[in-house]
Amino acid sequence: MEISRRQLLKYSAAIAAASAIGLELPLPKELEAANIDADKWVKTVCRYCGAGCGVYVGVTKGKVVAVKGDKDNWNKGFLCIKGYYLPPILYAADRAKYPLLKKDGKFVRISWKEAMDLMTEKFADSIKKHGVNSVAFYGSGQAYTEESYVMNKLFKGGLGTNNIDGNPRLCMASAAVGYVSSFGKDEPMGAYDDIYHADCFFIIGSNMAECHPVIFRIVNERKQKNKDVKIIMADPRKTLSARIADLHMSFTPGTDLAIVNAMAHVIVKENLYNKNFVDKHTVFKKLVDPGPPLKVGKVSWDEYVKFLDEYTPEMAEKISKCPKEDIIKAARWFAQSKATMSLWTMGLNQRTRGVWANNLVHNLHLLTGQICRPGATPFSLTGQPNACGGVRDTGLLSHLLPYGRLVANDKDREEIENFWGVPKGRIYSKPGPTAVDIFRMFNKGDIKALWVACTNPGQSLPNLAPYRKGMESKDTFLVVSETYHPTRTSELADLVLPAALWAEKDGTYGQSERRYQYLEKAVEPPTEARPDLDVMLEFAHNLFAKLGRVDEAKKLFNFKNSEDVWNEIRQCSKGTAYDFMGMTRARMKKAHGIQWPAPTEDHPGTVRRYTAKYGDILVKKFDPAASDVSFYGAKADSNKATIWLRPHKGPAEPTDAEYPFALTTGRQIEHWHTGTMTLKVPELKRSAPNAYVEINPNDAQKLGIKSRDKVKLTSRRGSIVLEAKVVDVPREGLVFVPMHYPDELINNLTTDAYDALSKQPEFKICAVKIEKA
Amino acid sequence: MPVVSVIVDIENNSGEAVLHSLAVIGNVSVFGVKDNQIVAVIEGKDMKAVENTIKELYAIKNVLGAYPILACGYE
Repeated sequence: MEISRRQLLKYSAAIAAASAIGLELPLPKELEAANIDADKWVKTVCRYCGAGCGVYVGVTKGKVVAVKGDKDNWNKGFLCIKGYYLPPILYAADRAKYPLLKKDGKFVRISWKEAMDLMTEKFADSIKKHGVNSVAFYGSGQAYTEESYVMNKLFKGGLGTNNIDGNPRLCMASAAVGYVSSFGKDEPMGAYDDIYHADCFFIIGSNMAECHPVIFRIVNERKQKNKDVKIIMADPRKTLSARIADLHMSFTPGTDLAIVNAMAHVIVKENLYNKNFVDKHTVFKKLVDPGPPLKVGKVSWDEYVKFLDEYTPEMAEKISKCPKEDIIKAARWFAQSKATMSLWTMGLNQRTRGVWANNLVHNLHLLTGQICRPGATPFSLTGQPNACGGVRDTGLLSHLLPYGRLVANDKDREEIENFWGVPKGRIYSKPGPTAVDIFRMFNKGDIKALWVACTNPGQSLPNLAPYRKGMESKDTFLVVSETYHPTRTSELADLVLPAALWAEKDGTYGQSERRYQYLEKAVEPPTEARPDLDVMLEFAHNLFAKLGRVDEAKKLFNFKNSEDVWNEIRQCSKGTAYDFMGMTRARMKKAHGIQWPAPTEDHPGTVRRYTAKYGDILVKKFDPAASDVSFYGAKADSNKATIWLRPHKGPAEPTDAEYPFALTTGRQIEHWHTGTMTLKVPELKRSAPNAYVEINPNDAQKLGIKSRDKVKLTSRRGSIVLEAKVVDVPREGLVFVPMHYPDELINNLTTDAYDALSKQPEFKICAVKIEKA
Repeated sequence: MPVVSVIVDIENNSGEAVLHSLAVIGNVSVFGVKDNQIVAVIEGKDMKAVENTIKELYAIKNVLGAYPILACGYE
């Protein structure tokens, strides 16, 4: 039988899909050993969200020509529509190709040497004249771990300033502080594997179907195969994700703290809590004084029960407009299922009470003992591919040091100073400015030189207009390392450095479930684009030379490549609760990701943390007396987790007569973040070319608005004109606008009010008015 | 001419109806079914055509999702 090339392609594609679901397809002999469309396949990880799907890219003649899911990775070969369109992002026409310097308002090409000399001079001059706190770095949850580690070491250990933060502050900070305040250490204890074991899913503030489609697929599969599995979806929008929900809890935006407290109320009043677990593994705390300094105090179970007294389902319904029957049903399902898994993202995190909301979800798990066993876990989904591994874990944020350490903690500083070999006292003890504050300081001129890498704050910051103005100031110096130019940030820069993209450099990503994965380099970057790590190391040496500290730089930044950095990173994790000494580069190249802790080379990785019974060997190390569960990150609380008394509090900017609608922003399935990549893919752009505003049909009728009408949205900070999409997705009183579009900057309207604990802004709720344009 | 394989997730007991619907879409070939998942391959004259077909899949009653697995020949 002769097989045509087209048939070969079809069979090969079908086999790849069949193998992803464990289906054996009969294979014509002629197709055996066929290797379609590529000279070689290179193992890597998807560039987009924090799901961290394993991917192979097919390379022919030095060009990425195909992509397929890694069937041996957790995603079992599945990709979403964005993942499958990855290759075109490498070949977009607007790739940044050369260093560019802004002269008289126009960008001109300069050499790398000129660019590095200028950048070094600007930073060094600023440090000499105004001190180390006059310079700053703003990084990214998309940068490779090695890049973030080097910049953290340069700023905190080398220069002695904590003026370093990253865009995970805008998306993950509340989740991170939530985990730390409830369990003592950051990062989820569970894994995607829990989805296969859960009998109840509590999905709150997450449109998984569009934002994490491949994870949602597993939830869907679990539901389809097990009729008794219950899915509770708590969201003011009736999103695609709600299609498979057994219970959709719709509520007034910003009132979910009352709802979750009311669920706890039902669980306690109906005696559905796990007394043994609560007694053995929890303590209770409340905020005594918001400070500064912040003071918290321990309370008793009785005080907690008293606190919950007022959160009756009736009271929560009054506040939230969520029917009390739904609250009671959700509480019972949550507590009574064999295993309950909570999943959430920005609906909880991007709030002025984001940490509290996270704590309250953790409370439900701790009250019911729905934790630390298969299927029972509170699991925060991540927005960026390396927010966890590269920023939260390496400590890139302004209050952190690597692997669970804090700049404000004397012992932690001393440990890292010793590890880095810098003098005692080098690391500054006061946390530095966070994302929004870095740009506030840049606006005021307190920060004179700022380096932004691998992120797009000129589009993604809330209350955008004043920060854009600051970035454009002639009195300060802004360097932007970018893959594309112009972006809404690079257009404001004084100096643009062209960056190699995913697949053009090697390094490590760490995704939502503590899985670290190696990304192999597949192709060369275009023209003069360079990996950020190379540029960062060169800058570190140049800057220290300019500051008269050549020898120190040689010692601190003695890295020839990303593997050298990775080896130091492994050493830095040794002995901590993150310990991944066993993840050698050689092992990572072969593995389809490994979940930390993995302290030795023969350790398989840890699917579930804080439970000796299910494989966390660090329980015995940190809490030898524990028979199974131990929240060993919470040493100060005798390895017990905290159930917090967190009262309901609404958004910073509630609706009122003048601004009667709540605006929320978010993603669409086709696009990702500020669209610098996905909007370069013609197919994705055609599918979703422009921003729009979703309006509930009842609201639209009252306002006389039809789909496709032009409408003007106005907040206290700005206005935007968009096409209306009248659709039964947002509840009445709520409008939704996707955040991806550079020509329609919705963040001109959002508020930069932020959570007092996590400093994460409240992108998810602000007040607007709507009128026909 | 691009070729894209997809897994089509469907609701319980809807296999026959969905397969029937797929059969009338000209550029879709079904290669196998396992549980509530169908392995299909889409061919299109260009990626726009493939993209339109994926949208068609989503519009079929009882289809919960269509997930591309491997795309070939779309340089």
